[in-house]
Amino acid sequence: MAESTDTHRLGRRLRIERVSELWLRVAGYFAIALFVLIVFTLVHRSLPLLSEYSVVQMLTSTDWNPEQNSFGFLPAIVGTVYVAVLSMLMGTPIAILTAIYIAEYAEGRTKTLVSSFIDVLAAIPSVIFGLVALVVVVPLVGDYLAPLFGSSATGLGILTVSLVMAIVVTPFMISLSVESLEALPDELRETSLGVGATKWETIRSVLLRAAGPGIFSAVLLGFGRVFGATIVPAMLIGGQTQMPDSLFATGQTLPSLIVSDFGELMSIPITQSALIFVGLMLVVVVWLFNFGAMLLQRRLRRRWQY
Amino acid sequence: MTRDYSRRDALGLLGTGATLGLAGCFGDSDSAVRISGGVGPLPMVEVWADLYEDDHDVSFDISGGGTGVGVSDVLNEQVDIAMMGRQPDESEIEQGLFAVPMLIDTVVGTVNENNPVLDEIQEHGLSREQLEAIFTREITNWGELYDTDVDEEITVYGRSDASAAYMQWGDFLGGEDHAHTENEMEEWADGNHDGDQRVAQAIGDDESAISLNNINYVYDLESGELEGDIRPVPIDLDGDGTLSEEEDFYDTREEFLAAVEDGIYPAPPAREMFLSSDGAFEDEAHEFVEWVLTEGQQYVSDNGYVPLEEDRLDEAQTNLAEGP
Repeated sequence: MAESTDTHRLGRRLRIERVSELWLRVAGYFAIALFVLIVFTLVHRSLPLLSEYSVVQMLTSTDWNPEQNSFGFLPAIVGTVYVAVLSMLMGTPIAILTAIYIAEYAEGRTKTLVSSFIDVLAAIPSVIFGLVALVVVVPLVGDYLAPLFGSSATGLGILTVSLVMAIVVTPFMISLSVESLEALPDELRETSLGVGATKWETIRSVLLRAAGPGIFSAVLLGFGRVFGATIVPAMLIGGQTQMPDSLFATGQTLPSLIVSDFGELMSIPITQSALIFVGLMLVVVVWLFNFGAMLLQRRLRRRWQY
Repeated sequence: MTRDYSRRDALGLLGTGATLGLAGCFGDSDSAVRISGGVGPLPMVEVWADLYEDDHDVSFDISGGGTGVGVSDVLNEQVDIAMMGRQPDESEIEQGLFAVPMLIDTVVGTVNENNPVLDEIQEHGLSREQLEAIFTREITNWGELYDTDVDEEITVYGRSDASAAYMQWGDFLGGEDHAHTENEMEEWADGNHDGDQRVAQAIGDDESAISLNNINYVYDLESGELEGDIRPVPIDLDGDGTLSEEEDFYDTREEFLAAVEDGIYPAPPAREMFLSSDGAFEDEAHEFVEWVLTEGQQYVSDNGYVPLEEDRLDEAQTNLAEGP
């Protein structure tokens, strides 16, 4: 009698075990299925465009005029690259320096205060940054910065978007970099200081190297975020699908192209297909980036092992 | 007091409720008329729906998203009616779209209330040719337009989002048989803003700027007077360099709408807006559209739009009755 209850109980436990394992597996595969589904939908819906126009021709043409069935993606691609590169040039040094300050120099209440403010900043929705920028950064660039360089721009454009995006992604990069700096064991610092290195030398040649892979991936993730940023460019870039000829010029990024044309053109099959193809390009590029970042990070980690 | 239910029971109940609620979403979607589409006609359709609901046993589920979204929704049978800020495209009709006009909406050129040549603009107006030259950047200085000492560069703003109003403006500027496409217009502009509201704001902030706006952004909603910081640009219709008695109707919204209704103000930029469905309108949707084309028309003027003319209304009603 007692024995049978025991087997019964064991059987029950095993069943629960199996069921929960199944659940976890389903949850895991669900993520993969979702990704495959998204990519499949994008590819499937881009086919009408791809079957009619040559990819190379579309990627190198500067003429975007969906009403007349010409789809040149180059202006939007160039705009996206400009914005991403410029924001990273402005944002990365600030992010790394701030991260070093918070992780290595700031102490006590200052540290808590600064780092919690940075977290709050990271949590502000980007549409808020866009709104504030419309009121502050656009006139600043249009009335002061552009005339300084002899340009009569209105303030909407590539530079404005890059400035704002640099501000939007910096907190995010700081948080990640601080984490990887703080994860370093104290022995590293003590050893370095112990052999007579100054604090700055320790940071520069020991800590930054050791935390390198982490900081590097923070920067790359930030790059990915700028690349896919939608609302800030849509609000501030000026929405002109043409090749930008200066930093103050208006332009278009791939995500803002989708946002601004989506509303009126979804119902015309070939234009819809074109916009979905833009989406496909974005997904592929961002995925390549993440994949590349992963590989590079692995390489770096192996080289900079401590 | 003993608790005769467990936390698990409560959760179970919640789950059941949620499932039922979700099922409700999928199940009885027929009780409400679902509408989506263009942002231009949205305010009017909302007013109509409210009024209609009071007298009829129907509820409405209305959302914006843009004309193309509405059309794509209606063709995918996610909504019953699509609001359209423009005429249906050839390729949309091929897919089975059926549209009837519902009202006329208007855009007008706009400048800042402190524009350097505002007095001249209001006295002489601008002809279509002058407006075209400004928007295509042949004329780049306010001083070039009138005999004044003003030396102030013109800033042109446009729309960055796909906008039927902007399209119509391009049609108007191009003259008889040559329309400027929205993309051409975007390229000529100094900067484009996402939405009517932002364009209005940009014009309000910039004394040397010109753009276009829906008249609901130009005249005060309540009083119908010119109260904000933007002013309409009167069109010198016959191009004689002065604004005659007949061409001068920009002081109040009422006056302006009357001019649109009488066909004095040109179309485009005045344009018809449409309600459309996948094939013929069905059941409640059909009755609602029928009501819009009859009783509904009387509410149009109060909301800053222009009702359809008699002939056009008759035509629309016949079309509606006959179906595609």
